[in-house]
Amino acid sequence: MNLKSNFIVKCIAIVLFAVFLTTTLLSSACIIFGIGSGAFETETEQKEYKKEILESMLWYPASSIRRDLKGFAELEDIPYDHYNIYHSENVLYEIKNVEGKVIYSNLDGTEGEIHIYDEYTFSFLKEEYKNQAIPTDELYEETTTLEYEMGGNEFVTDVEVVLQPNDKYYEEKNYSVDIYLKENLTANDTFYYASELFDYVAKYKTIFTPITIISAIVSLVLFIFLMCVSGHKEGVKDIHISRFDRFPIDFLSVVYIGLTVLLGCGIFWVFKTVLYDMTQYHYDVTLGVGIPFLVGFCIVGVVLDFALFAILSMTTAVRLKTRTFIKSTLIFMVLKFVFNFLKWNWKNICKICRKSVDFTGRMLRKIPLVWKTILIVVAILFSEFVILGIIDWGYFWPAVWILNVILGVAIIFVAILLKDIKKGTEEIAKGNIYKKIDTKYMFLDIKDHAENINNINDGIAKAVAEQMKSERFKTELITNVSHDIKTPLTSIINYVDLLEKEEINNETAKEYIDVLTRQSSRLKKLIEDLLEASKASTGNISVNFSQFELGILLAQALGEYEECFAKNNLQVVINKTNEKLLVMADSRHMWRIFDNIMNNIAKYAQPNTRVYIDVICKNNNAEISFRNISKDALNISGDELMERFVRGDSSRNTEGSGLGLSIAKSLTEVQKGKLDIKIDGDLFKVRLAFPISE
Amino acid sequence: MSLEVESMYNILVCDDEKDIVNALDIYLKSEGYNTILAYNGAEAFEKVQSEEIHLVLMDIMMPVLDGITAMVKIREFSNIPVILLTAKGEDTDKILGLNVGADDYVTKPFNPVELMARVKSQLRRYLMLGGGKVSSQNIQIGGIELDDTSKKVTVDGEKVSLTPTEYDILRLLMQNPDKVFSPREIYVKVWKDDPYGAESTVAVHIRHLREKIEINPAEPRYLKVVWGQGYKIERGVR
Repeated sequence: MNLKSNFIVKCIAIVLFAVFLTTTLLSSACIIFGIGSGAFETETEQKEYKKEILESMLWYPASSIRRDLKGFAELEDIPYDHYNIYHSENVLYEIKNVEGKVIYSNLDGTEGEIHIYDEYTFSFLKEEYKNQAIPTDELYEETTTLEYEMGGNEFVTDVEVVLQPNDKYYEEKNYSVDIYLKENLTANDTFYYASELFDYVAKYKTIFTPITIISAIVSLVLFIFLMCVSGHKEGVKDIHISRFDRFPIDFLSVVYIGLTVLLGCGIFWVFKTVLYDMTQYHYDVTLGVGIPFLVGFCIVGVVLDFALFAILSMTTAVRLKTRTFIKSTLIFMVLKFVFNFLKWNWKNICKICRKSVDFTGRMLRKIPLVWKTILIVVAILFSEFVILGIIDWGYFWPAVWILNVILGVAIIFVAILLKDIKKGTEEIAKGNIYKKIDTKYMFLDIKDHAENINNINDGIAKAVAEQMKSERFKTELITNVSHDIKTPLTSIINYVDLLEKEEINNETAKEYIDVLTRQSSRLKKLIEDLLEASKASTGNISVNFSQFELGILLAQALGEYEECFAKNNLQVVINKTNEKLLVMADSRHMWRIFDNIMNNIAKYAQPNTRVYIDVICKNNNAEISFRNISKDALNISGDELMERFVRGDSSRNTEGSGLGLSIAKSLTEVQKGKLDIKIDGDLFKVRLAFPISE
Repeated sequence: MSLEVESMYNILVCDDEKDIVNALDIYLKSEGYNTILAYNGAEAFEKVQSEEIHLVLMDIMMPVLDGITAMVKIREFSNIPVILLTAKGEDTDKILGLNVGADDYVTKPFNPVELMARVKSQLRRYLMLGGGKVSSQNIQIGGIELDDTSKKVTVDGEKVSLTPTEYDILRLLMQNPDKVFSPREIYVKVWKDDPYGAESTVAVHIRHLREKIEINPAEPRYLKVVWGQGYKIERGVR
């Protein structure tokens, strides 16, 4: 039998733990009582302590007598043996008035024989209503709500006016009471039981300490055992989490604390009922049933409470073992729910917040500057009036008001000037850089400010003019250089062509002409590319945006390059989405980009390999990637390849200007797209991304 | 149209760059044309007025009178073909030149063979103006003539041999000039089949067709590529 996972063993352990803990509690309570009452002292000292305790208990019958004395107007009229000093049969007393005359005594016949204790004197005041005529104006009215019963129904309606006399018509009367206790407590009253309990504790004082220690150790061991076995279940290897272990721990704790408090209240109530209320009338029942019930109730309640504590500790242990303690709390669950709720709706919440802020801002903006200022000034003056109105300004009132009004007018005037400046800057912000702010009516710093803005404006206008001039210059430079280079180049190409057609018998000369032909056509291509690259990179290129389908363009471009790829034994593999990818771009520039990339592939891809072209839609972008295996080893990065005049082959022998990818990149950027190149060993990858248009 | 007739044509060559004029002179003479040379716009204008000229080859950026102005002045009294031959290669320059009356636009540095082909084409078109008969079976757009009865296609009077597929594509496009056909539509109409993944097949055929009917397939005059949308044949072609 596995002790760890046996259910019955656990139950027994829980019960034993609760019992032993209760034992510990009770015996330690006895120890505390013993120490407090002096039961652990020597015999003579014990007697002193016992006497002190019993003496202090005499306050109870004394206060009982005092209460009764107050209830009677004329003490002398009453037969005083009627006093209810319940379960104080061992108490003897003697009541005297101010003059020292004994009014009542139950010491008759017992004196000398039984009372051993020193007298306990208790003195107090008797307030009495003077028996004389009271003038009506000395009375005050008191209204009382009456509650009475009639025919089984309760009424709380009637109000009666009672005339009460003032305090000065009370008379003070002093009485003194001497209280004694019998030496041999003959009757079974409270004093008897207190004495018995004291004697009992004193008698068994030697065993309480070992009981406390042993039961404390046993309960501690049991507790540790319970903590260890918690979560183990027959047939389950790991820590088992039952449904109960998933129940919110903080909720359980609150329930447990609530139950404990309830138990405390219950014990208190039972104590009160049994020891106080019941003893007033049914003294015998109290002794026969009440006290055993009281003790039983307390013990059973406490044991149950400790058992619950053990169960709660066990589930806590399981949670700690599986690290689910915090997760299983109700607070965590609620917070998690709130957090998730916020997370899922975060965008919406943000939107609402932003919208409301925007809305307030818009509303405030709609009020013109001057009116806004007037509103604020009036509001401030008004609140000043309200707040300072409380203080008495006396003769300063008009002066304060005149100053305030002057201040308000000055602020509003400044606001009007600011409005002019704002209007001016708004114009400038719109792009009207030739707008000037009128500074005629302005003064001091505001005038300086406005003039500074005007100066900045001049500066901007100058800078814009410069910029435009330099842009124009750049464009002109490109066109002119292009023309000036192309004209002599045309002649060179034409005359080389003519030379080629001439009949030349010299083989060396023919060879030279071949070189010239080849190189001049290469120069032509280079110059064309160079011009295009400089145009594209400086942005001197017109872009006509139109919507078209990328898939069709790719098909068209592939059609153009089909033979070129076939010649180099390149097999094209296309992975295309079925979606229609519409983009907003200049289709002619786009073709040029495809042209350059595919030309690059045709030129530099290893023959007899495959070229992969993927067309996908990602993050609202149309992405086209071209992947091929490079013929030559590439020792440079993709970014470097996109630089002008950089080529993959260091020998630079192949035809081409080294501008193709640079042009493609510039053209892509002009069309708000993205082009990047990745090189992974011999894998050459070009990725194009364009935003999809709706 | 035989070579004997062609040899009678007078071609005015005008450029401020003497070497280019000389080179053009040599090329044109070797093709059997008569040449008249001029070195600025004003000179060219005088020559056109004083002599019988069949075609003008002219630069734009020239001293005294530039090519565009000279052409505008020539257009006031003559509709002879004018080919602008210039280093200005911008699209805007081309559009301007063609709009103010040029028949063709060739950028420097040019390919002499291509230029000669263009000269020949313009001369034929100039001669054929008003002489071509258009029957109901014939579709004529620019220099292309398609005879659906004999399934013959001629470009500037020269017969072109096309495969049946190419012929069908050309006929489809010529029957609907200026309309852009997507590769998919062309496939459905010509192959009469499901076009799935067949767009580049159409593109390959179009390229072959272009190589056959265009002088410079890289700069087509008739069969235009509308990138990202499809293909069309332009009616308003010179």
